[in-house]
Amino acid sequence: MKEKKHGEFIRNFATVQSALYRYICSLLPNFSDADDILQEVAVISWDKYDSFDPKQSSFQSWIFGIARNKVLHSKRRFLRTQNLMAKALEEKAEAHFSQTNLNHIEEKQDALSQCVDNLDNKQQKVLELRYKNKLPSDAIAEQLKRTSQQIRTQLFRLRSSLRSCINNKLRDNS
Amino acid sequence: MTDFGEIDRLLDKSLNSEISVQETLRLETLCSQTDENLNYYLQLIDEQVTLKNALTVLPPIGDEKYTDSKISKFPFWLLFCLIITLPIFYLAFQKVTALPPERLTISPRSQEVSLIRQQQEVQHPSQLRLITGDHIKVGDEGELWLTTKQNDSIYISPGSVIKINHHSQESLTLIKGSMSAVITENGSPFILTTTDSELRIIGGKVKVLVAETTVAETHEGTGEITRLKDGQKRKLIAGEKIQSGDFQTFPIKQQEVSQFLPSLLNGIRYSYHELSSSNTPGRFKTSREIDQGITNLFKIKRGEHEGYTRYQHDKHSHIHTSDFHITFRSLLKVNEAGNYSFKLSGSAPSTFTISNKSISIGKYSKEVSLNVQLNPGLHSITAQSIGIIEDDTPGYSMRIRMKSYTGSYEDIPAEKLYYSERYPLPNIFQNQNVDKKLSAHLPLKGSFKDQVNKEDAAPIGNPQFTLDPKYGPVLKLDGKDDSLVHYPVDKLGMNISYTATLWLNMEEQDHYDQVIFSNQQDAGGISSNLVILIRRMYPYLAHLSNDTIADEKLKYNEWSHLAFRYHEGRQSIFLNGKLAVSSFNHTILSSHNSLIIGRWNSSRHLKGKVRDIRIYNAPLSANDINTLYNQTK
Repeated sequence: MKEKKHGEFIRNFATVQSALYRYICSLLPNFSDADDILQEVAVISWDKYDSFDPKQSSFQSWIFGIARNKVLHSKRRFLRTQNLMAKALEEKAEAHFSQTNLNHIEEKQDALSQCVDNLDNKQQKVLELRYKNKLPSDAIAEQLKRTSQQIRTQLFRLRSSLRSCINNKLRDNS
Repeated sequence: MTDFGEIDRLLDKSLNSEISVQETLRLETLCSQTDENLNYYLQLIDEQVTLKNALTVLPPIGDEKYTDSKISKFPFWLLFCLIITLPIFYLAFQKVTALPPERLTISPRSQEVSLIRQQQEVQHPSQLRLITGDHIKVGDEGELWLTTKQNDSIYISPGSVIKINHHSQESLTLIKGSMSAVITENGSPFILTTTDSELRIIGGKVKVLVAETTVAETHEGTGEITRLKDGQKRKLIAGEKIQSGDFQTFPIKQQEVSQFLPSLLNGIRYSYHELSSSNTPGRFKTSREIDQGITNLFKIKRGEHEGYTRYQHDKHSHIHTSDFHITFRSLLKVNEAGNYSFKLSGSAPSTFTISNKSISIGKYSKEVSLNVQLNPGLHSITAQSIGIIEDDTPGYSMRIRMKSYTGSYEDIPAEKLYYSERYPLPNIFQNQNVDKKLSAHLPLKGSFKDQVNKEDAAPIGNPQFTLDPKYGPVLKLDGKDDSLVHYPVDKLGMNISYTATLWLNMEEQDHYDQVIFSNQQDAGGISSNLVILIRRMYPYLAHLSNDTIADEKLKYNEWSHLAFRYHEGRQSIFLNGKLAVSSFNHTILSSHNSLIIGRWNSSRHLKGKVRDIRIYNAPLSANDINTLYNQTK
């Protein structure tokens, strides 16, 4: 019985966790903080899973609520000083990321991988150092013998370039 | 005109912890200006997370060439899901935050630490990941162990305060106190201590930021730090002692690693404190410490010590006068992950805590249970109780039992319990050339001859030698009038530090005290003040008053090795090579009278067999005693 419950929780969680992470990031725009919150939400929601009633709300709403409460108590949450806007952000973010689904992510991932492959080694290296090695700009700059500002500018341009590339590929595929 | 680029740049900085407070406010302002900006912000979040997740799983650039076929066919979405989901599955099933060693984590071995996160105290810090900006305060009787991603341990001493500058880069600031570690990257130990005006570095390589008040900064590279003074950076050499003001240089010192880190020894550290007006365990932190020591079982007996409560040790007789607070602290060694069950029982109000979970009972309450998931390693456990007036009835005022493999609840095995010895006494914990310290040796293998002094101990009564099936000839005392008299105790070196050992096979007697060692009564009738005996089967050591009693019983008609040690106020009893109890604040012996074996004054005669009596005029180390036990058993 317990294993069945485990399986059920994991299936539910797996379905929503990518949207959940994005939702957390929107309320608390810091990757490492969001990682921590995601882990805590996972533990709390598992502990409280017995209290989840599917007749009262969807699993996604329920777990978004747990995440929201967790972030609310974080002093570094976004728009902390602007209460009305914070409320608007929460509602908008929940609505926005509730629409996130795995298929959509899969398509984007495929497109992104192809686009990254089109970049030269130096450009790929900057992305790797930033997103895989999680280095700050000044550390990347030191490694590549450039300035922090140059690195940040390059990352901005790379993201713009990848955005256009992904949109083009998704349009072509559809 | 909306500057989406500015939102993009600011968000990127925020996500990667590079944003300033002003920039955060600017980002907030932009997002709250229009719906369009807010929508763009949300899209960027989606984009950044997609980038982060996709790029995390790609092979290193330059190590492997991408191919179109690889990218188009490999199910990145599945890998993405697995990478996010697997750790969560683990958490969900195990219900334990067992984190991969990606960055600094608080080891469960830590005791009495409080984590301050964003000006709030966080509960259960060892179950949380450290994040940038965390402060950790170590209690005055606590210790903090941090584990690095290389699985090194950093020890931070009692009373210290640290700040986590960047968890993934393992950068921390020592604000107050000291820390030590052996970093495996180059095998060198390092010590970093800071006071208001002094900083000392000894070897090692570590990323540490020292607080501004100690005018030092991050140091990397072997044995070097960068010192900031008035904005000037200077390289310093390991071993230098820096004081505010001028520099002083000392040679690099080679020191034993073991001196930098607390040792782990078998046992439980106990302490007694005066009690506040409340009878609630735990409310003792501001009260005076009465005593402390080491024991090896998580239980407190009631009434079996003839009014000599082991709860209260002071310099006078153990007449209990008022309730006091008792704390037991230890580290439980767990070899296999799983569910562990404990029971707390007893007549006194008590609490038991393990892995940040607690149970408690009131006076004469029913037994309570606790189940907890534990991973392999050391786990801090604490029990607190109240020492109350003995009513001389059998039973326990507090007892912790653990479920064994057989399913029954038993005392937590002593060999699974450890304590950190922060301040080792060098001349106890280092092995010695024990033979040189031997001041008397009576093998008692058919003669009374002392092998060291080459003279016989004098028999009183009619003690006989008997043939033991295991050891051959041994001395038998009849429990009525047999005893031996030997050299004066000061000549044997017992007035300063000593260790007295023997093998004993006791028989049942009609009185509860059976004396092993004492000293001759004075001519004026002043009683012997050396009292080493077995009281109701418990080994006991005292210089007349302020005794030490072990919790473990001997068994009748069974050979046991006993060692009684005194050194600088600390009395310890070892049973079969292992420490049974240790306590502090005891007076020295101070006698010129003869050593007596087998009685106290003219009574409490020992009944049973005795062999291999040794008196050392020094405190033997635990290792020495264990070796002696193994060599002579």
